[in-house]
Amino acid sequence: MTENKPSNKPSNAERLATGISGLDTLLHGGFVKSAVYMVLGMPGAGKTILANQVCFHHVSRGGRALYVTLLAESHTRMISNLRPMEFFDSSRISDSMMYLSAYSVLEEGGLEALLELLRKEVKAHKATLLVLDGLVAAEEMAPTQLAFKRFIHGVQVTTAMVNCTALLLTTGSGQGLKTEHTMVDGLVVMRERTSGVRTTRELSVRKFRGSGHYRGQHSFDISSRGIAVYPRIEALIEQQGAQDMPTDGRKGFGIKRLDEMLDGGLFQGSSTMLFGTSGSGKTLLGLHFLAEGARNKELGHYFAFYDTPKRVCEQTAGVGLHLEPLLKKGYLELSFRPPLESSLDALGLELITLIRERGVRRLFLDGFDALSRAAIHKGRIGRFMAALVNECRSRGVALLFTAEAQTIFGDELRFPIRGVSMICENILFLRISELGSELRNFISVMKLRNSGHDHSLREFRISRKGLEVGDALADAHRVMTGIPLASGGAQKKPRKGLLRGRGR
Amino acid sequence: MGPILIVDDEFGIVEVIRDFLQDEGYRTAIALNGRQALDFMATERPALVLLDYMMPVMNGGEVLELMKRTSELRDIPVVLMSASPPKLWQGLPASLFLLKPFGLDELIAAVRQGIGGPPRP
Repeated sequence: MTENKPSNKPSNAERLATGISGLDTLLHGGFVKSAVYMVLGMPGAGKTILANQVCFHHVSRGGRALYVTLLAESHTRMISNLRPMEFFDSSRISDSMMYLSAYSVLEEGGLEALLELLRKEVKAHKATLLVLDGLVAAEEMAPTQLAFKRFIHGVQVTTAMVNCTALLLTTGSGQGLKTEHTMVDGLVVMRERTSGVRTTRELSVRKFRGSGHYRGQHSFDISSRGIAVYPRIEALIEQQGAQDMPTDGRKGFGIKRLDEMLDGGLFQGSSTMLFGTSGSGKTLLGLHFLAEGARNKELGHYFAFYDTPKRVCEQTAGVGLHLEPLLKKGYLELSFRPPLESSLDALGLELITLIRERGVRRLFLDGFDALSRAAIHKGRIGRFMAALVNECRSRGVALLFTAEAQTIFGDELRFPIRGVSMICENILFLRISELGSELRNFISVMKLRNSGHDHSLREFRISRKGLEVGDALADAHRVMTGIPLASGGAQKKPRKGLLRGRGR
Repeated sequence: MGPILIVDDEFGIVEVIRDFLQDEGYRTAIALNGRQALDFMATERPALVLLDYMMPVMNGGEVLELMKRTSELRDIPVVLMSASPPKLWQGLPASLFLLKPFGLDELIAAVRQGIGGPPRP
C-alpha cells in the first residue's frame, strides 16, 4: 500500500511445499500460498497423517502451523498415533506447531464462534498454515447449507487476509462431492480401492485453482515415513512432453554374431522386448547387454522382480559373465523387488527416478509379467509401458524388457499385450526347441524398427564360456514352434548352421 | 472518533474486514453498495471509508464523486479497494488505494495512515 498508488502484491503462485515429494509433483510445487484446500476422504483414508506431515514439513522450514480439530478425539491420542512417524518432531509442538481443539467452541457458539476462534488464533499464533480437521462436524452443526457455505467463504477470506494457507479435512458426511466442497481453491480426494484381495490407496486432485496440476488417480501409501504419493508416469510424461532424441547411436550386446544380426546393435532410445519361454535365456541376454554398456562406461540398471542381486551374480558367473567388477566401478546397478503387491505407480516412480536422476543409459526391466500384475486396472499396463517407452526415447535410454511366451511348444504364439508396437520397437524372440533327443535354444530378430537386420534363425548357446550365437540355420523349418521340421518335412536334426564343438 | 465504514458488495469480505478491525479496537459499520453507504453517511459521519470500486447500484467512483461534491463529506479519508486494473481507478481522488487481494498488515497500515490507531478504551 502506498499513497495514491495501488500496492504491489507478491505473486499468488507462491507455493507452500507439502514435503510429500509425489504430492508436490502433482501440485506443480505445492499448495498455492494463502489459498484454501479441502482434503476429502473416508475415515482411515490418511487425511490426518497427510495434514500433519505437511505441517511438520512447513514448520521445519520456518513456517508456523495451527492444527485445529473438531473431533471428539483428544490431541493426546492423535499425537500418540503420530509419534512413530519419522516426520513427527515433538520439539516443535507448542512452539511453531500448535494443536487446538475447537469442538466445544463449535458446540456452544456454532459456526460464527468457530470462525472467530480461527481468526483470533491464526492471528495470535502468526500461523502461515491452518489445518481444520473434522470439518464434517461444522457441516452438521450448520443450521442451513447456506450458513455452511458462508462459513467456508469466511475461512477463505480470513486466511487470505493473513497470508495463511488452509487445509480443511472432511469425510464429506459420506455423501461424496457436494457443491460446497467445490467452493474452495482446491480439492484433494483420498480413497481406498479394493480389487480382489488387494487394497490400494489412491489420491486425486479434483480441482486446483490458479495452477496446472496432474489429473487423474495416483496411488499412495502410508508407512513409518508418512505418506508417499506416486504420480502416474503416463500423466507425468504426457504433461512434460516427449521429444525424440537422435537415435543414431547403436548399442551392442557384446555377443559378436548377435550384434551382427542387429547391424551393430539396438538404437539408443529404443525399446526392445526379449520375448521367449521360460529358460530361453532372456535374463542372461539382457544382463549381457547391461554388461557391455558398463564396459563402455554407460550406466546400466537391472530392474528385477525374480532374482536378487546375489543370485544374479551367481547365475551370470556360471556363464562366464562376472558382474562384480562392473558393479564396483559403478557402471552397473542391480535392484530387486519381489513381484508381490507392488504398486504400478511406485514402480513407475522408481523407473523414472533411475532415468531422470540416476542418468541410467541402459535399462533392463525383467520382466513385463510382474509389472502387469502390479496394475490394478488391467488395461493400464499398455499405457504405462507406452509412457515408459516415450520417456526412454526422449532421453536416449535403451530399454530392454523380458516378456514370457506362455506356450512352450506349439504353433500358437501370443504376445503379452495387444498392440505390441506401442510398447516396443524391436523384438528378439528366443525359443527352446526340441531337436532329436535334446532341447536347444534359438534366437531370431523378429523386428528391428528403422533398420535392416538378419532375418535368420540361429542357435543360441548358453554355456560356462558364455553366450554364443551360431550360424544361420539352412535346412530347418518351424524351429520357432519348438517342434522343428527339417527340409522335406521329416523331423530330424538340422545340422548345418549349428554351433560347432558341442561335444556330441 | 466515528466508525470505519466498510463498503463492499461481497458480504464475506465486509464481515471479515469488520471483524479484524474490531479486533484491533476500531468501531465499524458496513454497507453493501454505494447507495447504502451514502444513506449511512447521511446519519453518521464516519472517520474513514473503505470503499470498493466495483459494486452494484452505485459504484465506488460515483460514491467518491458525490462525497467530494458534498461539503460535509469531502474531507473524510477514503481508501479505495479494487481487484480491477489500477489504471481504471488510480486517478480517482481517494486518499489511499488498496489492490485486492490485500493482507491484514496492509489494511491496518492503510487505516492507521488514514486515521491513526484505534481509540483508547
